[in-house]
Amino acid sequence: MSKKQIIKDIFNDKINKTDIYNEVIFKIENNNRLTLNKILKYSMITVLILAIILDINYNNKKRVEQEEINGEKIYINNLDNFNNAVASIDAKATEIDIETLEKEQPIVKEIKTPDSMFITRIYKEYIRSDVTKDNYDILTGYNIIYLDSNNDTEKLLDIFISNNRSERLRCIPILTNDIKESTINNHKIKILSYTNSSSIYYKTYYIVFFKYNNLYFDIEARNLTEEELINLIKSTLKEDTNEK
Amino acid sequence: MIISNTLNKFDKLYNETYQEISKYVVCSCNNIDDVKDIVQNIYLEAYKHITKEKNINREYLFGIAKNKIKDYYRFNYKAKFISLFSNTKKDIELVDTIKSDIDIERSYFLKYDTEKIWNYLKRKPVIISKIFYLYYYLELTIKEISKELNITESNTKNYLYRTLKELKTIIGKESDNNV
Repeated sequence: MSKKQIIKDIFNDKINKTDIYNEVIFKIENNNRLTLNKILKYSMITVLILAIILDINYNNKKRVEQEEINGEKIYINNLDNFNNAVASIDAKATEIDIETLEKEQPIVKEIKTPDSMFITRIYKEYIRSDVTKDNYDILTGYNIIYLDSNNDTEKLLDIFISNNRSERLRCIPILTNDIKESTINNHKIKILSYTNSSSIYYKTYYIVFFKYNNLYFDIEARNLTEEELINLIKSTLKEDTNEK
Repeated sequence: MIISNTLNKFDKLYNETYQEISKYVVCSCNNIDDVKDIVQNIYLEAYKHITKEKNINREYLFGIAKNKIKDYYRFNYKAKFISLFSNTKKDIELVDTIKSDIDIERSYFLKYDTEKIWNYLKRKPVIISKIFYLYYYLELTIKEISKELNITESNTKNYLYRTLKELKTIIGKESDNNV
């Protein structure tokens, strides 16, 4: 046997016409089975997510404290287990500047934050209309993040504004149906709080939901006083408008 | 379930084009080990087109081949696209003009050695396995190989000769011991 034939046989063995053909046919036959499995897989993922949400809802306790701050009747709903994230967020954030924000959402000029706080970052948040594709094409809302110029206070304010979502995306959902509502300037507001006693820095965490001027607000505030929080809400909500 | 009419069309296409397609892929690939996967992907895609009642000819198939090679190396390497040589057949140099005193024939009878030759070729720069494939498997001349791979004839010979010599070091000595 010549050496040409030998090396030829090696290539014939490693890049074999019949083997490749058989593999192609096998993959074609297998593909039909896999299509059905994909449908089942996506259905199961949906069921799993629903199960997690229902379980969180069952475990959320809502103890309510009533207070009177600056003449307004305020109900602060307690939120337990808020720190236990259970899911990942599938979204994309694109940073914008304040000029763009004020142009697209002029209402932000009305929001009065504590004097020492300043805007550090602004994002537009997007999700996918088609989860099988990599295109984040649906705008969910705007995220405006404020920090305190005094670093010691560890204050943080995160205001989410949306035209179409009553809440921002979270890694732990909060169901607001049985939350006791406060009233500020004749507007219905939902206020929740969470206290992280394990941290020396974070004391109280507030989450606020309301709708105003056809916009949904979802505000998270860390280490702000209740008075600061209520003043912020009042600065946004003008008394003449009466929306839920 | 595969429809028999589609399968017949596919079989015909496969048999008529396999040699050209595999040659094209060998010349375009970055690693000789990738050839099998790439060729499979090409014909899988061709099958899908046949099921959609598309008329696939040789040129169409080469278009698929080009895209599949691109896709395969998209995140790893830049694919090298080598133009196809013409189909006109010249007299093939079947006589081995490259001197080599390797007695591969003796060592061939040990299966271990064929694997060793293959693994050795895989580890070398891909140009070498391409030259070996074109020279030994497709029996092209040195001139045709140099034209196809866009290298000089002397380089082609050097690659071949040097590699055969190296193979002797790896295979030849062990064969002497084992036979």
